Amino acid sequence: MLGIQILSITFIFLMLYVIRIHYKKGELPKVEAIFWTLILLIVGIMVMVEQSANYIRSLFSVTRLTDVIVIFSLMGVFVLMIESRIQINKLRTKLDKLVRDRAMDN
Amino acid sequence: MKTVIVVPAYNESRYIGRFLDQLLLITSEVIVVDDGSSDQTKKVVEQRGVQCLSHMVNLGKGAALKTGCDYAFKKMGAEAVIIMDGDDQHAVSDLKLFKRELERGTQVVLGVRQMDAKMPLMRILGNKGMSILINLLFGHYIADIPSGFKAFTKSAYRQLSWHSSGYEVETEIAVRIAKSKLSYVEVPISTVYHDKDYGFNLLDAGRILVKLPYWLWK
Repeated sequence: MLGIQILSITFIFLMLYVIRIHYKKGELPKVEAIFWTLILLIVGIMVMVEQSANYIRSLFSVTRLTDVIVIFSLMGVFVLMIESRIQINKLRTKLDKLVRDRAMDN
Repeated sequence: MKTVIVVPAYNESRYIGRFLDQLLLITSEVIVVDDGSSDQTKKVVEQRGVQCLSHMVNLGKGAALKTGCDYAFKKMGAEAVIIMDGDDQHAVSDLKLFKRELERGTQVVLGVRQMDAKMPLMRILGNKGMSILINLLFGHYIADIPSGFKAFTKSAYRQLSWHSSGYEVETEIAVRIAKSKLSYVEVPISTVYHDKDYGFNLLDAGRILVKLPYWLWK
């Protein structure tokens, strides 16, 4: 096993552990916990089974699996960034209103 | 014309006492908005019998101004507000200039500080640069955008209705004035400089530049 594979598998197990903890604490909904677990398991299979990488390379017509991972990672990062930004703005608006209303009522 | 002075304050216990002592000699129509201070600001204000609205957490200058103005117009029946910083940088003797302009029917009055040797060069450049940029984009040259000494009538406040919670509110107000048909005048004000000198720094400028397209469109 290559060093990068060991590192990837260690990272995947660590993230699975983090997901489990947040799920048990009730901080992560069941559907989301399953979604992230599946994503990590798929990545794990891709890392361990080299033949699966060949199929993905031919599916996306790229020579290197890294390119696919980078493209999908960037797409994921953008989705998370926009979603986080929207949620922060929503929370900020609600907090502003709550604090201001309370200041004026007291 | 019933005019209320709105003073946003965040950790101003060092200066706000002496500022209010001078202000109360001129008017008792004063509201201080304590924006979640962690020092004794609220206590200092209440010791002087001034009404103090308190934010549970720090929201920023824009939100504090909004709370104060909403309260003045909706609950105190004010026809105009004059906003002043609580850090004792504004001379209360200049209030008469603002009141006079409001009585004349001007909707917005903006205080302009002298940009002399007492103001740091970087601040002068930042302030001037922002004024030139607003002039290029909106066709109005507002001489001192970060100045916190300004006044507006109730109808002007409705048109200005800013969204910024933080310090960038001063620029948003300038943009909204420039985009609207509100009548405004600029009056020269004297400024006392001390360690809490305000103006644009690079971070503020960056934040404002990011928000400018939104203000331009909205």
